[in-house]
Amino acid sequence: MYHAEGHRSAARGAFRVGRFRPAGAAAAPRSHEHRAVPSPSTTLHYRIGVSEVAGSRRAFLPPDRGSRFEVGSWTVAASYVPGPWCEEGTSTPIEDGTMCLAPSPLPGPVGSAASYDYARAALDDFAASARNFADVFIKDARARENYVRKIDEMAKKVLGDVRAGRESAEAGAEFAHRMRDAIMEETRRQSSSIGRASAESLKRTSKTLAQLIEEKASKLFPGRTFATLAKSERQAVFEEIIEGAGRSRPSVTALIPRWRLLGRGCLLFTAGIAVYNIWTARNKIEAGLNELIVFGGGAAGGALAGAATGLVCGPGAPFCSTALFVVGGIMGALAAQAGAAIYEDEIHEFATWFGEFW
Amino acid sequence: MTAPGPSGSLTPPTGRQLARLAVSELFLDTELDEADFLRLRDALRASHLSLQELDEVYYDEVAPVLYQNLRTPAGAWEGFDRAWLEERINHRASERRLPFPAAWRRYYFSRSTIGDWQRLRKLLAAG
Repeated sequence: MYHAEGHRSAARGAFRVGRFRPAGAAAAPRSHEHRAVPSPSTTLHYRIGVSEVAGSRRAFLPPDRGSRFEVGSWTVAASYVPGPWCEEGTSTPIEDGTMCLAPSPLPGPVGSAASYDYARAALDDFAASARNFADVFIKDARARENYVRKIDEMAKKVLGDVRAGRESAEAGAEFAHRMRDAIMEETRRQSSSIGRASAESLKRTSKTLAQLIEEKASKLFPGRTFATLAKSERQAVFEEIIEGAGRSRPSVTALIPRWRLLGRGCLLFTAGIAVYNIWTARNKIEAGLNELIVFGGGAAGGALAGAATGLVCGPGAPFCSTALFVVGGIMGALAAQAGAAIYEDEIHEFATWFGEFW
Repeated sequence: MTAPGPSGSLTPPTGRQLARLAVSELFLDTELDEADFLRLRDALRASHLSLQELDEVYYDEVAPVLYQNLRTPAGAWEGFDRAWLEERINHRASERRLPFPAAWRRYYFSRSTIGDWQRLRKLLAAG
């Protein structure tokens, strides 16, 4: 009877076998050791992540399987060579001085499904989405801030030119009106895909200069038309148009700190999940790499979904854009998780090398 | 002020449509001053609707359609297309609504502009 000892890797529970040894040849087993007790003729089954590796005792021996199973050596009764058990071919960071540290498997028959942590995977996807929403809030806050500043600067400059006589009042009013529209369009392009879709879903009107002149004339001089105004009164109407082009809604601008707070809250949540995952992992470097991969995938998925919003949802479809954004982020994170599972060994090797290098 | 009617002909706006257009200005991304409020008050009076009817126009018709304009970085600032606004309000009236309490819906859609509406309401009530 042989004992297989080893540990689960930090990332996805891959089982690594250190060394088989005869029963009773080593110290009493610790409760946290992973133990499998096959007889030489027994077929061993290990579920690793979502794939099952099965094989006879011989299957662990050939060196070409060593990339996943690093088999140390076989010992038979009474041939025990003094030395630590579970020594691996490559150095593995062991942070608490205990070799062969691995969680005890859940009670059940050998060959049962591994405890793939769906809850943690879902939390990773959720965190990736939260990171994408942090981008949305922070980007929209920045866009609004720039918008308010630019239209204010523009209106003040045009008004200054008109009052200094460098530009006629009528030309200044027309220019300010067109510039406000241009700055608005530019800001929408710079805002998030969700913010842009929300804005485009509302059909606005663009008034002509003549309409604006009559509207402002009736506002400043109720009951009178522009044609009946004196020259100084007409100047006041044009200046009102210019100043109006620089005004924005204070209640919307007051949302900037809230958007920033929401964005930072989402980032904090994402960072909290990542720190927790790394903190509770055995191999912290490997876990950190996995977090980077998952969040990178989520960000890429969100960005791709945002770019495809116009193509998939059409203009002005805020609900579709939001749904696409969320689904894109989650799909990106899932794809990254799948990629990380496929290249688990490479990530492990890189983490080991990086740990040594660091 | 006219808009294309169902048959394509131009029809004069009703009092309710005038009120909707005036209330929609509360949702524009621009700062309203005292003169603007007085202008809107006069427009709402010209609609000949009661305060209760104007509340319905604000809370249940215009706010649910336009509230998003004040939650985007660069919303519309000059005005909304009247025909589009009418079409959206009529479309929404025929839609099945989510089972949220009416008070919650009113609060959610109007929280950005409720201060301005209360101010306009006071001007209307002052006579």
